[in-house]
Amino acid sequence: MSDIELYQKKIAECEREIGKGIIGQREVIRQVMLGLLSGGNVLLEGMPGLGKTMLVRTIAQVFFLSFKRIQFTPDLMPGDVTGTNIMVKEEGHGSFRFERGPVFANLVLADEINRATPKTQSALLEAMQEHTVTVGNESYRLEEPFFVLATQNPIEQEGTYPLPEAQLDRFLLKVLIRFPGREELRGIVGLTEGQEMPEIRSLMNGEELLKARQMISRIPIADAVMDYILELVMATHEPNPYIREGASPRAAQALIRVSRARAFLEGRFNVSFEDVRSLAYPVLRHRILLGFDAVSEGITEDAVIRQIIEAKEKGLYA
Amino acid sequence: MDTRNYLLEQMKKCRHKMNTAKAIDRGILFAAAGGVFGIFCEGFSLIRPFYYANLTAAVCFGIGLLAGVCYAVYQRADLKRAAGKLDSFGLQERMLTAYENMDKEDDVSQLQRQDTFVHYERIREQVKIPILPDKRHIMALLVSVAAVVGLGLLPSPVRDQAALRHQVKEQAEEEKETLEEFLEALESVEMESLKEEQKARLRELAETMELSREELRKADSWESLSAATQRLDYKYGQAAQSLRELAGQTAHTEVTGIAGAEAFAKAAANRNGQQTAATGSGSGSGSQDSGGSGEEGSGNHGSPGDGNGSDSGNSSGQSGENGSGEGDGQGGGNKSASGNGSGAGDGNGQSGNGSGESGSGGDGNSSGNGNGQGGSGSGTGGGRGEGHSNAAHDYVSVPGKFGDDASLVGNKTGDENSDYYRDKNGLAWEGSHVDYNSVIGEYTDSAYEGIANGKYPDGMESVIRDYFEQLNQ
Repeated sequence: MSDIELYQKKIAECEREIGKGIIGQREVIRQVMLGLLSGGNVLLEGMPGLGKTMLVRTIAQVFFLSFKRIQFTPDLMPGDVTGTNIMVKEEGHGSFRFERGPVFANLVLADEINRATPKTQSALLEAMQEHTVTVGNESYRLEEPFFVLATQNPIEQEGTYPLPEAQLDRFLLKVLIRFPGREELRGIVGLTEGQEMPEIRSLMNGEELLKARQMISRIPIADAVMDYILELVMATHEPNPYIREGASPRAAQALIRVSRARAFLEGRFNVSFEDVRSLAYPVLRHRILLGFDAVSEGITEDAVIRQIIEAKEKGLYA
Repeated sequence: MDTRNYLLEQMKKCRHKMNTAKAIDRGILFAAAGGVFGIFCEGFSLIRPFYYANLTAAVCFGIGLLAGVCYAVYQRADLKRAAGKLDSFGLQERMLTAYENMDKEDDVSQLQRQDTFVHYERIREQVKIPILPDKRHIMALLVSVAAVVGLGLLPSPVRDQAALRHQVKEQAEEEKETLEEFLEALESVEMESLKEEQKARLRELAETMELSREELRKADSWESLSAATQRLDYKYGQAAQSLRELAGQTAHTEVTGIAGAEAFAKAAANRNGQQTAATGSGSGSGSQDSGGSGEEGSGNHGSPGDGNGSDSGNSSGQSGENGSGEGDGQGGGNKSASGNGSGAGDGNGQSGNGSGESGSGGDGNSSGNGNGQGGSGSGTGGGRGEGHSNAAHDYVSVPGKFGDDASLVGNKTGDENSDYYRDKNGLAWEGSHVDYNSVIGEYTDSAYEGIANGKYPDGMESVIRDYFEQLNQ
């Protein structure tokens, strides 16, 4: 068995291991895993109490990664996220020393990111984009792998600072967490309120995760699939009464990366149309701006994306 | 066979099937589209004469089929498309990716090929490339074929007319070909050693023939073709005579080409006689215009000759160069009659008889030359005779030579007919009369030439011809 196949098996096993601690939400687990394997950050949108923190904690445990959680509030300062220089007295001399903030971890859960001021949000977004933190004149490199999982509540908008489009674009995926079904809810209740929590094993470490990322980046994409990705992104810029602004080039890059990761997760060595199709929703939904018509008619981003996918479906195998 | 070659082989097989299927499908579809044009052709032939409607419709189908196949060849699938087609059976773009990375040897590419091979083997039994064309296309072709055949079988007077016109055109084409050959023969005559007047005659001859060619080109009914053919026959006869005379005049210089042209004109005259006669027998009952059986060619009467007091009456008939000639001298005295009859006719056509007849009564010599051409489809023959006699004769009024005397009541400006002057028996009448037989031949020639040159309105030609025929009987 080759290294790639070995890692494919390991990743698949990790996914199953995470599934032990999270009841249901298979698609959410899958997409968060894809974000992690692609080296991107994920924005989770869902009601409180749906297991977001549990999910990140479990992932950190399975991949043997350091984990920090930051609860974003309006009075949260950038220094509270990135860290700050503090004055210390050593051997009679006073000096400044950088005290690392919670962002210095492999996995960071930025809970309710839209409750912090834009200034604080920007501090995290720099870390997300550049994997560095700048305090004063000093820049500090974050430890790899670095993965931010931000959450926001879709209904409580009062007193929030919605993320601007440019910052939303920095999230590789936007994953929607839906309320679980009856059976899933029974499982959740049974798991948390009943017996003991299942033991979660660590199956991989950060180094192996980085190696897996390298392997994923070598997965070939056929020209036709690449064209399909580009067509989908370009289609968001075609005249459409429901779209005010289309997706940025980052969308195409993100689709390629997560499609490769999905193929890898599924044990393939090539990207398929289906990979692209299934990931178009989490990749594009936060990158297109709906127009007034869509808002007034109650059309969601997912509905618009579905429309685009259906329009581009014809002739894929012609 | 290694994985790479195996996959390539499968792609090639798939491509072959795809291209075959496309050629069949597009051929059928385009043939159906061609059938639509065929339907238009058939429909058009119901309202406008279009003899080749059936052939054109068939050609439309053929062109459509060919265009479809050509289109399919132009749009033929390559291996990449074949790989994409195989992927549509659930390979999730494995085959396409394998094809694009066929020449790579890194571990990922090799694993990808192996993975493709394994998955292809799993679904190989399900891979079926349909060869049969789209049922809708087959249906479209069947409908168009049925429509074309149905329309083609519909009876229509316009179609009958088109068929008739086509026959006329075919016949006219044959005549034109003969005419073209004659014109070529005329062109081959060496002009340099001819005198100006001889050249002019040849040119005039060629121009006359050109008129006939144009006439044949325009012929679109049996009437017009018959008239044109008759005129052409006459022209051939005239041409043969002119060329013979020309050959006689230039015998010492041996002008090349004249003999050939003359021979051709004679042959054409004969051939046309035969052809027309043959046509007459074939379609005589159906079409009056095509002529019934060839009638006897009639030569013009020889006019009475001058008497020379010889009692021996003889009559001599000289055979014409073509056909038979008869000459009859009648009456007392010396009479000589020479008849040149040329005629040809096969089938129902009878050979023309040229008869020269002496003037009746009186003494003297009479000679008659009858040139008869016969056997033409319309049953007419041309002949002429000339002779002279001092016997009593009728008179023919000469236009412009009477009625000029101021003492006469009613002159040419009065638009009265000649009976008026006959009745009056005026001075000018007596003084302006010429012998009937001395001019009737010339008049007849002039009339026939006029007919040949198309001087007279359509429809009047036969009237004029009949008139002179009656006079000559």
